Parts: sequence; structure tokens; C-alpha cells
Amino acid sequence: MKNKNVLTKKYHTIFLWCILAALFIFPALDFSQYVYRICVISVLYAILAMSLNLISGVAGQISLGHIAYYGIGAYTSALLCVNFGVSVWVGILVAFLVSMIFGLLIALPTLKLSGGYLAILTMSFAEIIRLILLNWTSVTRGPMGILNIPKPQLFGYRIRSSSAYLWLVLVIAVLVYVVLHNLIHSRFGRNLKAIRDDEISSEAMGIHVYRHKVIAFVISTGIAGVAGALYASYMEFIDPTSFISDESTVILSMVVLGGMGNMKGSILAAFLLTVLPEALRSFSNYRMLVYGVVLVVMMMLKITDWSALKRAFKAAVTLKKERGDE
Amino acid sequence: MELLEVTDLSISFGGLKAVQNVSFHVPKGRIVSVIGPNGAGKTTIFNMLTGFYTPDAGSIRLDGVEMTGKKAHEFIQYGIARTFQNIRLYGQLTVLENVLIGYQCRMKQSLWDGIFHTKQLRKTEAEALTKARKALDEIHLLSYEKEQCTNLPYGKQKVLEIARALMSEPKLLFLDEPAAGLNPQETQELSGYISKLAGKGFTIVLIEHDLRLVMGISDYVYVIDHGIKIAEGIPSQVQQNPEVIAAYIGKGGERLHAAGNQQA
Amino acid sequence: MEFFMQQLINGIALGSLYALTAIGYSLVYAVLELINFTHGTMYMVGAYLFYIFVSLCGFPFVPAFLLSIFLTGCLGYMVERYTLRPLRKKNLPKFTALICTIGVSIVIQNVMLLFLGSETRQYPTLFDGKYITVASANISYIQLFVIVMSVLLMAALTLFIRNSRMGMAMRATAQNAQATELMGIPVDRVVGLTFFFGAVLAAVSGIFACMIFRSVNLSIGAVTGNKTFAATVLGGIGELSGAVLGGLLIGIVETMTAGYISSSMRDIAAFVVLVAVLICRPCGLLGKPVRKKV
Repeated sequence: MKNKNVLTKKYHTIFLWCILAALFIFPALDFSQYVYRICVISVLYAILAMSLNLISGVAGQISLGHIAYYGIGAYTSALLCVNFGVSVWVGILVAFLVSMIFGLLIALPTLKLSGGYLAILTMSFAEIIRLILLNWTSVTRGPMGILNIPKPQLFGYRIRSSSAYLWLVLVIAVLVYVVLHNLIHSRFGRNLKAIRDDEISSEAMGIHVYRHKVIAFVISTGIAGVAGALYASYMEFIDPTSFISDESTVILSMVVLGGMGNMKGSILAAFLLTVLPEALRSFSNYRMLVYGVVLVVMMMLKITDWSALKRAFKAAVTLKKERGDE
Repeated sequence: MELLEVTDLSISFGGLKAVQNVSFHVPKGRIVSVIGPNGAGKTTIFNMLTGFYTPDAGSIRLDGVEMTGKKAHEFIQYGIARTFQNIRLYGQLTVLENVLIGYQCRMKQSLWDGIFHTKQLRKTEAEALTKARKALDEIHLLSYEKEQCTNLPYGKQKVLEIARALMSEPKLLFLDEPAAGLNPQETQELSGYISKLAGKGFTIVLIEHDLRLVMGISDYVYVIDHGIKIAEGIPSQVQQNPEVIAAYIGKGGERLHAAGNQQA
Repeated sequence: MEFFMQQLINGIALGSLYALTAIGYSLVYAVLELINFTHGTMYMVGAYLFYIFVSLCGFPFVPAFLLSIFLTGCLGYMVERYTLRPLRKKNLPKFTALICTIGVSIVIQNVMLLFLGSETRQYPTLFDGKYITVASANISYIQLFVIVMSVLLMAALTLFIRNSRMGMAMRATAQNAQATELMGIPVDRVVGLTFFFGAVLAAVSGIFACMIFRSVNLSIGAVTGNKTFAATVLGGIGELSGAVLGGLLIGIVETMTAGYISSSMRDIAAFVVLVAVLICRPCGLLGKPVRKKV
């Protein structure tokens, strides 16, 4: 019995490595740049969804303003690169730090609250950020947006095409995944899950609930900032319309769809919810309609519960085997 | 030697004086019970002793260290662990993870260890796992370690909650109505388990309704009514105390007699 | 001073509409602890239905008004009945219902878009822009009408919730749904009716708001939804008086900012006030702090 467990675990790892290898070979294949472009956007959403999953999925603290930190990251890096000619890498790093600082500023007062209050405060903060981006024209150029944001350079080679950029975002996404996966499988991550399930008994068990939430929030916002910086330099142009509050709910729905605290689920859901609207582009009138229907149906059918699906799948497989044996 | 010394503990909510000038002490290695009718203020005392409420007056000294004014999450560091009246396990976590949370305050693992999965992390996690598995083995739940804890029967959940508290290596264990909601057989098992813990040298403070359990295993009993201590003594003394019987009047009083008679 | 009075009147008119919508939010939150994202959509649907009945079908105002608020109420009830109720029966994470309401509002908005298109339309209004002058401020008849109607509605609603059996059932459900169910009160019906009333209130304020602004488009739901939600929380979520106070405050702050600072700042102001208040008073202006149950 134990042996079999080890075996399946081994296959599981091999399977993961295969997927990873496939992902990294994919950009070298000769698909159209349009396909790669959707992939880049999907990966960026996957990073966002994973980061939100830490605070909303693992720690259970609802945030309806995650897009704000994406926006802060994007604008920080873009402004630095365009106005001061800073290298994109530095831009990404500064974006990471600045989003973390903003995350901390909003986390300190809000994470003492819970439920509805937390949701509305995070959402309001995101609205304030968006409106500042829109109205502070002397710095952000308001609705005209920022143009000519440079692409990053690596060993003297500028990462220009979508396929090359896909490599870059994949590397960062894998890094983010590893960091978050490690965190979840540590004392810190376990404590976050405990907080999600029962704050009072977590306190009795000696968990500093507030500090844990704040740290998780700050990590989460920092990662969103990096994703924003990557987005800015990929698009070469940003304006406030990319950071509207609907986007926050899209990211949250990825987290819920993928399963709370399930990073792989978040990645999958991010791809699904990015590719689906693209696939429906030819019916552009019905696109958002179908998206809404899919959201509702997925929630209603409890498709979000991956472990239940897994169990069902396993049961089906054993059933088949048993029949085969007979 | 006194492990816990409580002097003149008082708290009021609005105008209501929930607990007034309650004093007691708990010697090392004993089982001390706090009993009283419903709404007597037992759980309020408990919540003060575990840091969830801050008393208006009075002092709580654990091994000579003043505990009043410390935050709830700091108490476990000093060696006070507790369970709850209505089970408060982590519903979405497995049995094993629940027990691991109990050990978190003793794990020397930083955020960096978590992010980079350092040697230190692997060491502490392995150590915690061994300890958790041992604890589960003791309560015969090892084969359920991967189960979600809500799938366990109620009695098992109670024991699991105690095991979780014990993982923190407490000097003093507070049990808030451990027998609530258990059937007689489960209560019997539980009282056996608690006595066994005392035998291992744990100091236990018990708040209980089920007088049979209390009288059977306690070394010393305090009786609270309307927020005031009305009696104390060894179980047989308390049972004879007319004031206590008056407080438990009616069914409770009969039950007290019944429990006493059974003892005798 | 003149200008101040004028802005104040505008603010009160706008604020009383926010207050009406906020009450609906607050009701649903009190009963289900759910942030209902379809609420803003109901505001928009109500406004459009009235437009359809009056401008496209040529109905007189009063029947058109009653019909559109009733239909919006039914839509609200249906949303609860067919999406949220089945979800409630399963033991799912809290956010599931929230995402579900987001999905539903996307669906409703896009259905409307398919049939009506995205252009801004001229809205039928009452009293032809007539106004009276009080203390050197111009109050248009429609503003006055809206304020009076809102006050009446709020008073009626307060009486209803305080005194009627249904109101009592609602309050009971808000306190403890399980215990209420055990007392033999059909909690599902109570929740359904709460959604019905919430949607009706949203529709009423949607119609009035569009009468004041004399135009309607599909995006009004989302914008007002966010602001009224802010108003609800500002006053103290789950408290009806809080929702009214929050709505009025947000309305006044908005028009004052537009008047004295810049109209581009009007949308920020509401949120800045909210964040500031919540940081100082985490449970909102009139909300009561809840003692942690251990």
C-alpha cells in the first residue's frame, strides 16, 4: 500500500516535470504570435490569481481590489523606465517594493476588519488608485496613458516577440509558484489555513492572527506588482482602463474557480477564463454573456471543488479496473 | 508548589458584574475543577485565564509570571493551552494538520525558511511530524491522519482537540466542558483519558457541567455561582456543602447527590 | 452661501437616492451576510424597464412605474430562488455566492446590451424642469419630489420591519437563521422576499435618479452599485439608519467635492471618506461593535 503511494507520487512529479518541459518548449514552436500573446496574458493572470489565492484562498481574507496593486506595479515600472531611463529589471524590482508598501499601508488598518468591511475597503482603495491614475494627469498622463514603455533586455538581446516574452513570464510564474507552494507547505502557510478556518482557536494556539494576515497580504500585493510591471513592458502602453474593478472580480473568480488555496487550480482557472473569452471573440456580442453564464454554472455545479472531482475520477477508474478484473 | 495563582479576579460587561473577586490556586500535577450552574460565569473566568478577556481587576500568576495584560496568542508561549466548549477544530484541515497547528508555537521556523524550504524547515517539519504522529497514535487516530477532521465522530473530535492543545507542551491545560455533548460511554472514556494525562504529570483545570466526571477525577473543586466563589474543597466536602446544593437546586441538586452516592 | 445651499440641496437629493439603494444592500447583507453584486444591476434594470414602458410602449407614468418596480422585484426574487438558494444548501466557501452574484449581474447586463444597445438614451421626466427658489437655492420639483418620496418610503419600510410579522421574521433571520428555521419560520421565503424588496428599492431609486439626470445608459448600475455599497458600509452594515446616513453623506460629499474642488474628483471623494471613517471607526458610523464570541 505504502509502496504504491510512493509510486503514484513519483509519477505525479514526473508528470509535473513533463508539463513544465512542454510549457518551455511551446514558445519555440512556430505558432502565431496571436496564440503566444494570449498565452502571455494567461500567464500574467495566473500569477495574479496565485498571488490573490494566498490571501483570499489560503488565509480566507476576501480582497476585491487586487487589480490596484497590479496597476501600481505597472505604473511604477512604466514611469521609471520612460521618465528616468531605468532598466526594466530595476523597474520590476521597484514595482515589487512599491506595491508591497502600498499593500502594507492598506493592510494595516483594514485587516483588523473582517468579511464585508474588508471587501469594501479593498475595493474602495482600488477605486481610489484607479481614479488617481486617471486624474493625476501631470504624472500619469491620465486617460492618454503612458506610451513607449521599453521591453526588457537580456544579455544584450531585447525580448521583443510574444514568444520570447512568454519564456520570461513563464520563468517568473514558475518562481512565484515555487515560492507560494513552499510557503503553503510551511508553518506560516499552515497557520494561514488555520486562521481561515477559525480565528479564535488560532489565537488560542498562539498564532498572531493579525500579523499573519498582514504578511500574507503584503507578499500577495508584491507579486501582483511584479505582474503589473511585466504587463506594462509587454504591452508597451498602459492606461487606467486596464485596472478597473471588474478585473479584480475576474481574478477573484479565478481563485474561487480553481479552489481556495489550490495554486494549480488557480493557474488552470486563469487559463480557462482568459482563453474562453478569446475563443468566443467571433461572437463578440455574446462573449461576456457566455462568460457570465459560465461563472454562474461553474459555481452552481460545484466544479470548483477539485478534490471532489479527483475522488469521482478515482472512483470511476477503480470501477473500470474492477470490471476489467472480472 | 502552586503553578497558577489567581487573586481577586473581576470583570463586568456594561453594568453586569459577571465575575467578582474570584481567587483560587492550582498546584502542579493536579486536576482542579471549576463548577457551577449555567451562566455562573465559569466560561468568563476561563476566557480571562486564557487571555481572551482582560479582567478589570485582579491578577493571574503562572509560575510567578504575571499574565494579565498579555494577548491571547501569547499565553501558549508561557504554557497555557486550552480547548473550547463547542469544538473549535480547523474544519477544512486534516486530522494531522490540526495537531501540527498545536505545535506551531514551539517550531523554530522563520518566513525565510518557509519560502526557501531550508534545512531548518525540513528539520523542524520532520520533528513536528514525528511528534504529531506520536500524539495521534496515543489517541488511536493515526490511521485517520489524512481524514478531514469534521469526518470524525464527535467524541473523537473532543479528544483530538485536547491532543492539539497538548502538542504545545503546556504547563497548564484548560478544558472547557470537555464532556458536553458526549454520551455516557464517551464521557467514561474521556475521564479515563484525562486521569491518564494527570498521571503523566500534566496540570489540568476543568470547567464542567457533568458532575459525575468532575467528582470522579478532580483533586480539588471550586464552585462558582453568579460570578462569586461560593465554596471550595475536595469533591466529597463540596458535595455535602448545603450552599452548593442550593445553587444546584432541583434536578442539579439531585444529580449531585446521585453522583455522591455512586461515589460512596 | 448661495452656491453652498445649492450644492447641499443637490447632495441631499442624490444622497436620498443612494440611501434608498443602500437600504436594499443592507437588508440583504443583514439576512445573508452576502455582498449582493446584482443590486446595482437591479437599479439599472428598474430604470430601463420604466424607460421601455413609458418611452417605447407609451404607458402612463404611474402604471409604468408600478409595473417596472414589481418586475424588477420579481427578477431579484428569481436571482435568489434559482441561483443563490441552491448554493446555500451546499456547504460551500463564502465567496462562491459572491462570485455567483457577479456572474448573474454580468449575464443580466449583457442580455440588456443585446436588446437595447449601449447608447445613452434620453429619459422621461416629471414636471418639465420647473423649480422653486428657497433661501436663494433652486430646488427643482423633481428633486423635491424625490426627497419626499424617499423619506416616505424609508418611513414605511422602517415601520414594516419594526412592526409587521414579515419584518420580524427578517430581523430574526438576520440574528440567527438556524434558530429562526427551528421556530417554524420559512427562512427561504424570508430571504426571497428580502431580495424582492431590495430589488424594488433599487428600481425605485434607479428610476428617480434617471429622472433627475434625464438620461439612462447601461453603466449606471455598476457605478451606483459601488457607491451605495460604500454608503452602506459607511453607515454601518446591517443597520437601516446607518444606510440612510451613509447614503446622504456620500451624496453630499460628492456634490460638495464637485462644486468646490473639481468635478473629476467627485468619485474619489466618496471612497476617501469611506476609507477614513472605517479606519477611525471600523464598524461604520452607526454600527455596533460585536464582542467576539469565544
